[in-house]
Amino acid sequence: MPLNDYLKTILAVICRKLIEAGVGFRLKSYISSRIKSSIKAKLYRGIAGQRAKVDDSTQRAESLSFMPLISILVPTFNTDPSLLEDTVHSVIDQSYTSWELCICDDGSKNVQTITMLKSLQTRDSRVKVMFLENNYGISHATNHALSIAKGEFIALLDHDDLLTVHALYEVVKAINTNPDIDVIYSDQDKIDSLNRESEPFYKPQWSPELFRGVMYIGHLLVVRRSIAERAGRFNPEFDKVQDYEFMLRVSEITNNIMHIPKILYHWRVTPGSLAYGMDEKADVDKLQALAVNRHFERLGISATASPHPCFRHRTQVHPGSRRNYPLISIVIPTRNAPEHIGRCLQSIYEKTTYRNYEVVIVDNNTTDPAAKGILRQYPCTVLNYNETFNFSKANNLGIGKSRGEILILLNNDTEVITEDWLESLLFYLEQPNVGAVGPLLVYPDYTVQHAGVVLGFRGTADHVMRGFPADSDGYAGSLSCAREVSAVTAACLAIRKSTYFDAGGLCEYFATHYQDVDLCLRLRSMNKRILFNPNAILIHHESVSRKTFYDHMDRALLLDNWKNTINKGDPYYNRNFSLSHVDYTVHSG
Amino acid sequence: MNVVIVSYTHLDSNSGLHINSIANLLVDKGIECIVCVPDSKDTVFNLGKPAYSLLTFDEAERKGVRFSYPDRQTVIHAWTPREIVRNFVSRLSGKYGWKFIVHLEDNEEAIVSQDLGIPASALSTLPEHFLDQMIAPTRSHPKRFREFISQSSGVTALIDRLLEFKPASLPGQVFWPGYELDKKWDLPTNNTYRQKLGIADNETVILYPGNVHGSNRDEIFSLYLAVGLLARKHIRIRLVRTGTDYCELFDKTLDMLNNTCIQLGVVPRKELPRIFSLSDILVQPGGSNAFNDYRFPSKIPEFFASGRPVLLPATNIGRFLTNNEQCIMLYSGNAIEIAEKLELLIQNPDLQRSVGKSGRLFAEHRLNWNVAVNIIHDFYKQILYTQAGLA
Repeated sequence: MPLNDYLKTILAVICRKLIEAGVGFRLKSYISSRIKSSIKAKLYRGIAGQRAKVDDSTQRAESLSFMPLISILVPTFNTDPSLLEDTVHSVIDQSYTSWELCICDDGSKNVQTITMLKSLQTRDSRVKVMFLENNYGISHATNHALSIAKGEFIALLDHDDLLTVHALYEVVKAINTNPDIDVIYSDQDKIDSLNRESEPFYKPQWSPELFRGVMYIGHLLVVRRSIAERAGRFNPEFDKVQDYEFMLRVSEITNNIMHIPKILYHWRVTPGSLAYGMDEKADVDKLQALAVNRHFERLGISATASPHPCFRHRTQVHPGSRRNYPLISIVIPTRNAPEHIGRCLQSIYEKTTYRNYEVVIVDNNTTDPAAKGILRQYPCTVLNYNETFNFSKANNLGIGKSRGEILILLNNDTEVITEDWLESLLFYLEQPNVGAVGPLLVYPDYTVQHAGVVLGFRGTADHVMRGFPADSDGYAGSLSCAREVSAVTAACLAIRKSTYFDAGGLCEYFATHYQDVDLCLRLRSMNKRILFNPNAILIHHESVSRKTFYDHMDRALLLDNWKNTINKGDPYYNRNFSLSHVDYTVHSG
Repeated sequence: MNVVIVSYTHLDSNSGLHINSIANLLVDKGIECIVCVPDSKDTVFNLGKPAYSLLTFDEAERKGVRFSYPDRQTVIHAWTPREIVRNFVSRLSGKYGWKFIVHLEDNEEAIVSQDLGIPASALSTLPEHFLDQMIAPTRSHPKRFREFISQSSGVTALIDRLLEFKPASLPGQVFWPGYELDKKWDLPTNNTYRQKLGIADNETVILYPGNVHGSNRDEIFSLYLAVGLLARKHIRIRLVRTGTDYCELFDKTLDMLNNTCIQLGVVPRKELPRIFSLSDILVQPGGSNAFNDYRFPSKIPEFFASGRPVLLPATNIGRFLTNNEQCIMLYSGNAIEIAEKLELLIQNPDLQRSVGKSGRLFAEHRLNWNVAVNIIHDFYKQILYTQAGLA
């Protein structure tokens, strides 16, 4: 390559990287002076990502066509003045300037705190302070702060926490991109008394099902004020989880909820705060479950929530008793393998508590006498499928002959563990806009085989948390609680028959792999949610049946169909996690 | 009237074919026409003996551009606003005071964006100094090409949406390209040639005659994959390709896709009708996107002229056609859709025949260089002689 062309290529690559890193706009004004040093420095900042301390003026210079007033609500009570000073400064130092700070002191007796608060009013006209005579609790104080807020959006800030310098700028940038957005939340980390940052918490995009199990929204939380008013303000009954309970009500009136995958908030670790430890606030788990139960009541969902028996600050959702039992068709393609199909059918017929189901076997040329005998042994419908095996086609054939309103696609090498697996899958399938539900599949050693699919692993998609102990919490409840995922495996997948047909069913052009991911992505493009449900558990004896064969044409087909979607990143797997690992390892870059 | 057409490349190319057809027919109308090319002047003889004069840029600058009747009004037709043309036309127009119009055949921004791997929206934010260094002479400068158009007297375009790149006040004219009338594109199936290439009588042959480059790599890959998928379903099918691959279509893990493809490489243009006679179905893969929405795929006139059914994206020229009558429309353009549509045709020979026949009629009436040149000639007159043109 001629030197000139080589340099052009290098230049193009640098520009591309800068733009990818989000520094394209800033580049323009900088180039004329010191090109070489600029490129190096800004490339580093861009790739270093959201934590980088970029010069304020550069971000202020970026034009935001819409610059709403943001009211930051801070309830205080006997706050350490030095911490309060830091908190307030983190607001005053914001690169975005259209804000007001609404502080409501909840009857502090600490003279220094009161003195500090009074002095704050004189420092900046955007700071408003009100004092309550008595200590009424955090919800009460927050509501008072809300009552003096004039902003189009409110942001919640605890009295000893810190905003990152561009927190509000990032929020307003997101609002400019999505003007209809009602709620914005960000990633967060913790900060100690020496202002050392630790424990970043990288969250998924809005995942309402996960939110019922985990208080994952946390900070920074920004809500359109009109929505906050409609939601009914903060309920003192839920002090300690008041923001969680508030957010549950908010989620009942809007789904325009957006996540910014950047750390915009430092949560102070002080004794007495949840940031310090899970046990710092007594009764939180019960309050959390109560909030979810109220939420279910308001929505008319027949279910109850209780504190998770194993994990703090998680709720476990229990489907309520059923009045109707729609017919569920369990469709199982199989060929020979008596040890698999025998174990599978035995587990279904011996363990399943759901009373109205049928089993449709799609038999692909079984010749093994033992397997044939097993198929005769159970009251299942057996369909003959004598062509070259195609997983999609086999299922489509079985589904075509099934009678059920609800379908379970099931591999023959699975084994039912939880007796109420069908009730549990059906409960989630019946939630609004749910397209498909997948259970927790475990290996015989009770490590995770399937707990949802993440886009981008292996360049395509793969199971997340494979190999995790099945009884662990995952990443912030991702294994212990039901949640939205991009796809679930068709080794066991629940779907309504009508939805299946609306989506076009499993695509028969896929011969071996990825037909389930393709189906789920089609469901998602129909605005359907895909849920992982850890309460329905089956063993997948995949290690026994799995072949080393990898169908590259299926891989190519998935990418041909969904490359753009995959390249955008998995909405439920924060972009700060590496795609080289399936275990929430933080990206080293 | 005198016309100078300035090409960004040699004439044995898709753009060159258009220029050659138009220039020859303008001469037939009594218009003196000079075509200027950067180099490789002799490639024109691959297309036949031209009726017009031909100069390299260098010759034009050294010897001047001389017409038999220099007093006649002269217009320069800049064939694309690409840097090499923009620079030359700017000098020519400045030297002689001739008006110029700009011809658009592609979304220039999308091509540059693809080349550099930089989003089109971000290109204009880059400093001019950087852009000057990065933009090749055969590409359009993201900023300067718009200035160039705004300084012109008008714009011609192969498809209506390209006129979005001109200021509203500037006159614009769309013309559709034609197929070469001196070649017989609807030859019957050549079984002898098929046998020579090892194609069985019961195989369906899909033809894609064209190069692979960054802008169309993904859609050509979708075509390969579609054919591979049908072969995997035991459907007897073969993809016949011509042209050069300027980028890798797929890696070794997908070698099986080569088993269903016959690559004939670069084929002289005069051989193309014979290649077409191998085929049963022609596919212009792709879907609606920033590249396809603003182009008229160069092979489309010959595709329709072949009398064989054509699959094409539901964008650009597709917007003016009727699905399942004149063509088979691709909406997503992905491999699955192509495979489904091919299966539909393979299972339905009557549909193949009817779509092929209607497509041929469409070509005869609408994809005809005589029609195009009349439109262009009228536009030149509008630019040169009407009040708006003189303003």
